Amino acid sequence: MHRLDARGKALAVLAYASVVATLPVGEPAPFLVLAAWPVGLLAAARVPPRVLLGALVAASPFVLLAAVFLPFSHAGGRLLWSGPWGVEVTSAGVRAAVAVVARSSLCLAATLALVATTRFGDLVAALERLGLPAVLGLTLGFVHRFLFVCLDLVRRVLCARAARSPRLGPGAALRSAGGMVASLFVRSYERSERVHAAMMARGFTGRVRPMARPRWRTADLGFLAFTAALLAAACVLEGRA
Amino acid sequence: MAAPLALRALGLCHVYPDGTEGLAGLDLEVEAGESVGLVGPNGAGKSTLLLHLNGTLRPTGGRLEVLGLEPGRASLPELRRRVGLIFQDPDDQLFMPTVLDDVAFGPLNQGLPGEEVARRVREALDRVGCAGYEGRAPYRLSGGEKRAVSIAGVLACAPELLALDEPSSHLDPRGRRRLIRILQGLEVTRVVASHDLELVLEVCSRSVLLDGGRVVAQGPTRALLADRGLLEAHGLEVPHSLTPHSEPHHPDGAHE
Ligand SMILES: Nc1ncnc2c1ncn2[C@@H]1O[C@H](COP(=O)(O)OP(=O)(O)O)[C@@H](O)[C@H]1O
Ligand SMILES: [Mg+2]
Repeated sequence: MHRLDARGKALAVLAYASVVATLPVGEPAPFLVLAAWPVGLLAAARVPPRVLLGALVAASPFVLLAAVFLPFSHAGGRLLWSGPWGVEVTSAGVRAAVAVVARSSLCLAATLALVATTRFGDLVAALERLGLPAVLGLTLGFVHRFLFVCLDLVRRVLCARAARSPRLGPGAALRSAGGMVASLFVRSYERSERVHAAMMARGFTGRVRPMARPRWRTADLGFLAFTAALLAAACVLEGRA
Repeated sequence: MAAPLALRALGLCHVYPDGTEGLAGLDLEVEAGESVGLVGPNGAGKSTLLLHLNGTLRPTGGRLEVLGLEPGRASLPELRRRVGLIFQDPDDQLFMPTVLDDVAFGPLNQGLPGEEVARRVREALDRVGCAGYEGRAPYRLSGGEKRAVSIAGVLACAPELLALDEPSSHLDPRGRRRLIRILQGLEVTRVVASHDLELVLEVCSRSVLLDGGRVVAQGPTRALLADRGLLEAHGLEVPHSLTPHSEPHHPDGAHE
């Protein structure tokens, strides 16, 4: 899994996500087939289940927020519960909520399988070769690279504040946060100028030249064929149900 | 016959856009193959001078010649290819996702073929003792390793003049020791700006004292840095290893 071409993996995950997103939620069978894909990949890549659970929990506030209102806002199906002020829970609504949770969890798992087995730089390079504009790719690379530098900076500034004011009321914390954000902004801006100078110093001309072009190998084609077969199977199962 | 000059500055001036004088009539010559220390208090103009060497800053007055080139729009690409500048903070310089990508960045920009790039990367990493680091992410390295890799990234461009700005800041003693060994092992012309005078003593045969954007004094490092009155007048201290009551130093320390 780690050694597969990043382009193949990115394509497979895109195809997978579009099937998951468009397949109507009816029978559980097609979804079980679909679930097997990311779970199998994560297992093959030896990603501990804890990591998947962590990602699902981290995304849950957004997913649940969307799902919680769906049962009330969907007309149609059997009426399951009728409350005051015309609040109603319908079977169609419940089904939609389940669908949102299932779909987002599956897509999340598939994405996780992709990023857990691909170096970020390779992924960006793959997306560029699949048609992502170079400027966007470069920007993504920098965001990823300097996120850590900035987080470090934030940690240092917070640490320095804590050292000088161990107990800060919420008002004072908020007021000093304003100054911190401003100083972080200025420092990040100045850093960006220095990084730019460093890039120019090593002959940057506006285009990052890739090291070597990866080639498609049999394993990549096999992986894509397998994914296509699985997606097709899920669609057929759905049609029969 | 004297060696050809790597650097010649005559009355070099630089005034920043906000009116601050970074350099105020600096005269300096550096011969090819020399290792020269630039010492001086904060704000003396060390960084400003180094940024002139590869054309990042342009003189606002006086004359400057680097490797026989006058800085200008036309010579800029060549200047950048032939002068390697190492910035004070390695985090500013390591911007690619992996060590391999970062060290290969310069050679790839020079349009070199793949095998040549791979060879340069291997040699440069070897030189700084970081062979095998290719797949590592630069932001996860220690300070000393970051410094070493940032030097490798510049060495891979095969510069004829290497300029380092405060290379030992951010380094612990081990990282610093490693840096000193790397710098001592190079043959390329080096200009090292630092207020780490012990480091300058170990890697530079000649030193130049700057203050107020001008050269105040210059000479063999060991003699210059032992001049207590001069150093103290310019906000510096004689390095411990040169103070009379410390251990006698090795006589071969001031070698060429
Ligand atoms: N970007 C800048 N804008 C305005 N003034 C600057 C800038 N960079 C440096 N200076 C000023 O130029 C002078 C020389 O600075 P610098 O070359 O950084 O000194 P050093 O590296 O020796 O500490 C200082 O007075 C400094 O404040
Ligand atoms: Mg400086």
